[in-house]
Amino acid sequence: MNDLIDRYLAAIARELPEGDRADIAAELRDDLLTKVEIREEALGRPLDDRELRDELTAFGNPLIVAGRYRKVQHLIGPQMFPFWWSAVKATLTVIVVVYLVLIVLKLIFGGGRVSSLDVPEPMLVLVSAFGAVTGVCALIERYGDPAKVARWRPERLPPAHGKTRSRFELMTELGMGVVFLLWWTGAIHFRNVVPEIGLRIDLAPVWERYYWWILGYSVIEIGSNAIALARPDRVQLVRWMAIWRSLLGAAILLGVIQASRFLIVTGPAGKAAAVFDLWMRVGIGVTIIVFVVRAATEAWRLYQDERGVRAAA
Amino acid sequence: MPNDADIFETLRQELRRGSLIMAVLGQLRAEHYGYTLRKALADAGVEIDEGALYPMLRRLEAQGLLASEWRLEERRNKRFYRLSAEGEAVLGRLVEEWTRLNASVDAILGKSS
Repeated sequence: MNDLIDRYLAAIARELPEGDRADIAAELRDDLLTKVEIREEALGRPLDDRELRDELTAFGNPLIVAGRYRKVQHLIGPQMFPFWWSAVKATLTVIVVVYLVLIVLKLIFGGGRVSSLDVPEPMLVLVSAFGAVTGVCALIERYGDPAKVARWRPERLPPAHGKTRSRFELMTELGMGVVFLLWWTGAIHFRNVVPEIGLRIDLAPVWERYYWWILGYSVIEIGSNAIALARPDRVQLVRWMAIWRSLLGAAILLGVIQASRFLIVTGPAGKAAAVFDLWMRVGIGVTIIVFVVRAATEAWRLYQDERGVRAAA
Repeated sequence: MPNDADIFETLRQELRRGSLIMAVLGQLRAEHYGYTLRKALADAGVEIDEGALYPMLRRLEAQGLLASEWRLEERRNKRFYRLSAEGEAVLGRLVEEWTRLNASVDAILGKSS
């Protein structure tokens, strides 16, 4: 009989903190033996094996019994949970958007080099991101102050009315911005050769001249979308960033459009280079107009916001 | 989907959680070891399983509300618990709070019935 009780208590003890192990196990042993003795006294005979097993089963699973002595009873507590959930959703959405954009580009431009060599496997990234967010939240839960995380200021709430971009829209733009930045810096590549029709497309030297300007534009775009996501109350800052970003974009493209060639098309299809350049010129022209209109729209909205604030005062 | 019995059981557990601590502290104004404490609580109508009781006793002791000592009794070493002076003071405040809350809930239920 005692052998089964010893095995049971040893299984509990293995899961207990070392300092309290002997003390807790001794107390549980006394309780178990007292229960068994009282039961035996009532029956007028020793417990048989089945009855003892029933007693131990009722006492509880060793992992659960030991677990109740642990100081940490949960990885993410109720105070931290909403922040963990929100962070997991935002992180995973951005990653999914990045990979969706990559998949779409891969479908458009073919197999290319968007392979495991260039970007990690999506599942690996998703699981790692989930683990990282959970790990950080668990550390705050264990060693930090979840109440501090929960502190907030009503003045930071986004405006109830007025045109603001949805979180999905912002995350999509953020994801696309990240993909563009990765491509522009050469971290990922897309196929620029179509051997079936002997076509190869490269960027003309004009783009190289604006490399750092375009890189700066991309970083500002990602930054402004990240700010809009994290601090929806900073409407004015985000509007100002959109204005300057659009003007910067328009200025870059005004410089680029002066060039005679935008793409270098080689191979038998090289004859179509003029057509490619014409379409590029039209595209760049339209984009410049879009940038200017966007800057003007944001400036108008800023003005409207100001007027609204003054009217309310 | 949880049925009415599940919902009631969850709410009952939530309602009991805080009051169990008060019952344990109250019962330990007289010295007890685990088994007799559980029996005394059960006799008073407060059932608590050992899996919840012993960790609770340790926590309350770590918080300074209980004091304990190992002693030989009925041929075996047993750990005896009793309310500490600090525990007595905290229990007094909890009872005040409990009485106030009870009166408020009674008043609300009285009005709504």
